[in-house]
Parts: sequence; structure tokens; C-alpha cells
Amino acid sequence: MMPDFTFATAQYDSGDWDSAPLVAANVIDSVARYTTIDVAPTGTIVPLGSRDLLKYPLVYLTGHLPVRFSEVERRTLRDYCARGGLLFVDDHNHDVDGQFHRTAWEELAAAVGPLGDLPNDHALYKSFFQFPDGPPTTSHELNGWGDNLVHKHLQAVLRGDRIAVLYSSKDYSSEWNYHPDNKRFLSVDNTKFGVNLVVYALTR
Amino acid sequence: MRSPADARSDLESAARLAAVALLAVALWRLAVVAAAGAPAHHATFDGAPSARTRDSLAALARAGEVVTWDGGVSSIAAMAEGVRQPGPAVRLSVVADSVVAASDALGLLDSLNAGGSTLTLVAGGEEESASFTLAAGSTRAVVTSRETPAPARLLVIARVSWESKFVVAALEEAGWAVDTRLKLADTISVAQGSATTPSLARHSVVVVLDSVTAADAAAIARFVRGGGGLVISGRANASRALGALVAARSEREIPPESRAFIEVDPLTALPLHALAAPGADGFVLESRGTARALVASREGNGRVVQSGYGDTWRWRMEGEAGSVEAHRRWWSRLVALALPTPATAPSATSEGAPLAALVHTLGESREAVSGPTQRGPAIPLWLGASILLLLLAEWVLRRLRGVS
Repeated sequence: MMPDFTFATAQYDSGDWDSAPLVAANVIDSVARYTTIDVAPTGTIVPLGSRDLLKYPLVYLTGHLPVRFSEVERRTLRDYCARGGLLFVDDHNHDVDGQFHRTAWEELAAAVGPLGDLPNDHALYKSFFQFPDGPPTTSHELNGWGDNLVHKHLQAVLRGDRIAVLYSSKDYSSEWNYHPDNKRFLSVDNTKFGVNLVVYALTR
Repeated sequence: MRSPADARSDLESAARLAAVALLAVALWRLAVVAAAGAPAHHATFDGAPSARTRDSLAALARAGEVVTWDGGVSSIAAMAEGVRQPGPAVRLSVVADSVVAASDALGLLDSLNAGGSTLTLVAGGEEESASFTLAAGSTRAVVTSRETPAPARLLVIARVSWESKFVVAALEEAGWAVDTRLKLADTISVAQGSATTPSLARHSVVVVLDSVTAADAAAIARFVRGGGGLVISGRANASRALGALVAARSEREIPPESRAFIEVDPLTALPLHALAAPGADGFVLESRGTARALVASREGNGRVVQSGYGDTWRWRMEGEAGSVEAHRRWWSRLVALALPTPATAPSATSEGAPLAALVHTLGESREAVSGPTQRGPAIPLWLGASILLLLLAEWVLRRLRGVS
């Protein structure tokens, strides 16, 4: 029997889709650590233009480079979101003027719809751990890297009251891209928000 | 010389003889009428007669007269029942030997093909009942639906998974109000709605997607035996705690027959927790090959519907165009099967099977039989009055003679 949850990373034709290869293991570790969700021990990679995308209702997409979806990728992504899938996109550059940010916004707007600010009291921030101030900041924001901004909101495309696309400029891809064994050196587990994201996707 | 008394005696004898003769005539007439048989009536109908006409003929038949009929009465049997899916709706079920036109007070609704057909109509409001006319040729059936069940709220008990997410989504999109309790960790559940334990005051149907604790199973058992509905899906059919409620436990898991949902029956692309043969109270609704897939049973005052299909969310996500709606409808139907329905007496105004009612009342259609079309009185008034007068005259003459 298939496990209930498999962490899937989207592979798209343009750009560097595999820029944060350890994120999957880290989020899987946290989900297994804090919940009883039946989670697959390893993540998987799924082409964005393939029907296999529909097997994974939560998919993570990141990169540094400009994003250009093919027509098949665009169509598949549109169908995926209409059926109830959730695409989590994180800008690995942490730069609102960066190539990834500008091109990804264009592509997502064309494929699914325009992104808007997600309120910081959204259910996403309470789905498991409590984040009363909205999305947790990352060390990359606090250290002034990228665009030198602390982004107050995540952005989203909503289908009804459900998130279809979640977009982050906070660079969780860098924040979570380390081996899970090294989590023990942290005073606070910085992947907890990843658990909220998975629980939200599985329950809303 | 004859005295007046002798004359009165002769008259008396003549009156007696005449009375006896007339009595003989009366008996003869009775014998003739009896030999002629009961009067025969024959009716030719163009379309089903009204209930009043049918009952009048039935009264004649019960009075001993011969009643036959023939004509062009189409065969229709129709039933209307109020359902919730989840909004109020009326389901018309019709069996007919020709095309049937369904209409209501506002006009024609739809036509149904010959044979067995079902038409589900979404009710426009919360009316307690609605009448429908079903016409096949000149034959008309009239059915009246009774009030629909009370608005239903569902409770989904499961663990956090894609299956629970998409089952809840499908039911909510179909219009059901859904409470949920989804287990997320040993001591943590994600809840939606104010009541997360089964309550007959709040819920109509409980949907269980995974194994449950003994305490939950006991609460569910009380709920079902009290009149609630229960849907057990997928791997929950193997739950030991629910053993007392299931008519057919899951025997084994059968892998999907197809790995993709393209150009196949989507249910064949799902894993199937094959169900055992149900007990005497259960019956099989659907099978996949030799494996039982859907089983329904009664438990106390409630209904239990078991579905062996697992991972139905994959149908919604991976199926062909329209699979979101199909998955939604399938789940809505499953829940509707378990929905408690209040017992209602058939409406007095319903005339759902006019031909069947006619045959039941007057027998099969047949040709007219020979016989008098009407019967006069066996003893006419003049005959009875004459006998009475003769007997009275004979009595008066005897009194005048001084004989008692």
C-alpha cells in the first residue's frame, strides 16, 4: 500500500529545479517526528508536465534561474490546481528583483492566476504549530541577503478558501536545505513551518 | 238455492286459487332469471380509468355481476420519493412499456425511455410534497412524493491522509455540511465543526475511513442502532473495533486492475478491500469480478453501507476530465444510501400504477361475455300487488263468513 504522504519536488524544463536537494529529507524528518502521518521515507521527483504530477497533491518547486513553463507544464499545472493540488513555490534567491521571482510570478499568473498576499492569520499558520505573526522569518532574511527585506507575507492563489499555489520569497529552500541529522544542533527546529504546510495540504 | 255465505265461500276459494296461481308464476319468473345468469358489463378504456370509475366497476363485480374490460391502457409503474443529495430532491422511478412524459404542475419536465428509468429532480424549495404526472399515450399515472428527510450533517472520522482530505472536499463540494475529526498524532486531531463525536441530534451519517478506537466504535454503534447511517470505506472494513457493526468484514486487499485511470472504469483502478459474504441482514450492491465491493445492511434502526474501494482520491486527481465531479457524485450517492429515511405511508392521491390497479380490481383484460346487460326485478310490482290483494280478499271473505 502506498504511504499517505510522499514529498514531491517538481522538475520543470527550464531553470535549476534541483537547487535544494535536502529540503525533502528535512521536511520528511519533521513530519515523521511530530505527527503520525504515514510518510514515505524518501521524497520523489515528478516532472511538472507529466500526469504523474497528479499523484502528489502537494508539490514543492524552487530554483534560482528564470522559469519558463512549457505549454504542457502550464496546462498540467492548471489541471492539478483545479483538482485540488497545492503547489508550494519558494524563491531560492530571496530576491524580489531576481530572475526567478519575476518569471515565476508571470508563469504562475498565466497558468493558475495572479498571486495575492496571504493574511498572517490564515489557517496555514495554525494547522499544527502556531505562528501568530504569520510566516516564520529565515536567517537569510535576517542576515540581509538577497533583497535585504523581511517579507511580511507569503503570497497565494486561492481556489475558494483553499490555497492552490503558495509562493514564498523567504528562501525556505536555503533555510531547510541541510541534513536532518544536523537538526540537533539547532535550539529551535526551523522546519516546523514545513509541518504546517504538509498538514494544511492534507486537511484543507 | 245458494246462500250468500256459499257465494262468499266460492269467491274465497277463487281468490285462494288465483293467489296460488300467481305465486307459481312468480316462482317460474325467478327460475327464468336465475337460469339467464348475472348481468354482464363490459368497459372499453382509452387510457386508464379514474380511480372512481374503477371503484364503481369493482362494486358491481363484488355484487355478483360480471364486469369485463379491454382497451389501450399502457403499463406504467411509478414511484416518487423525497431524497437528499444533499439538497432536497425528488427521485422518480418509472417502469413503462413505452416512452413516458413526466410533468408537474408547471408543465413538462422530461421524457423517460421505455423500460426501467430513474429521473432525479432537484426540488426548488423545501416543499413538503410534490405531485407528478407520468403519461404514456393516454394512460396517466400520478405520484406524490412525501416530505424529504431532515437536512443532514455528516461526521467524517479518519486519520489525516489524502483520502480523508479529498472525501471531505468531495462531500462539501456536493453540498453536504461536514464535521470532521482527523487523527494527526497520538494525542492530536484536526477537527472541523462543533461536534466531533457521533450525535443523532446533529448528524445523519458517520463516515469512517480508517480503524477507530473501541470508545469511538461504541459511540458509533449507539448512533447507528439509534437510527443513524454509517459508511465504512476502504481499510476501515478491516477494523476490529467495528466488527460488531459490519455485515461483511474485509477479507483481503486486491490491487488495482489498471494502473492508470485513462479509458477504464475508474473503480477498476482503485485498490479493493474485498468484502466477505454478508450475513442474512446484508446484501451486495456491487461487485468487481467475484469480489464484493459494496454491501448494505441494517443495524438496529440504522443503515450501514460498506465500500471496499480504497484511495478513491486518486480517482479525483488522476482520472480523466470530469473525474472531480464523478468522484463527488459517487461519494454523495454512497452517503445518500446510508441516510436515514423516515417511514411514510403512501399518499392517498397517488395513482402510481394504474394498469396494475385495474388488473388487481377487475382482472385481466378480456372480451365481453354474453349475458343480459341489465336485470329487472324478478317479481314485478303488479304480480306482488295482485297476490297481496287476493290473499287480503280471501281473508276478508273468511271473516265475513264468520270463520277465523
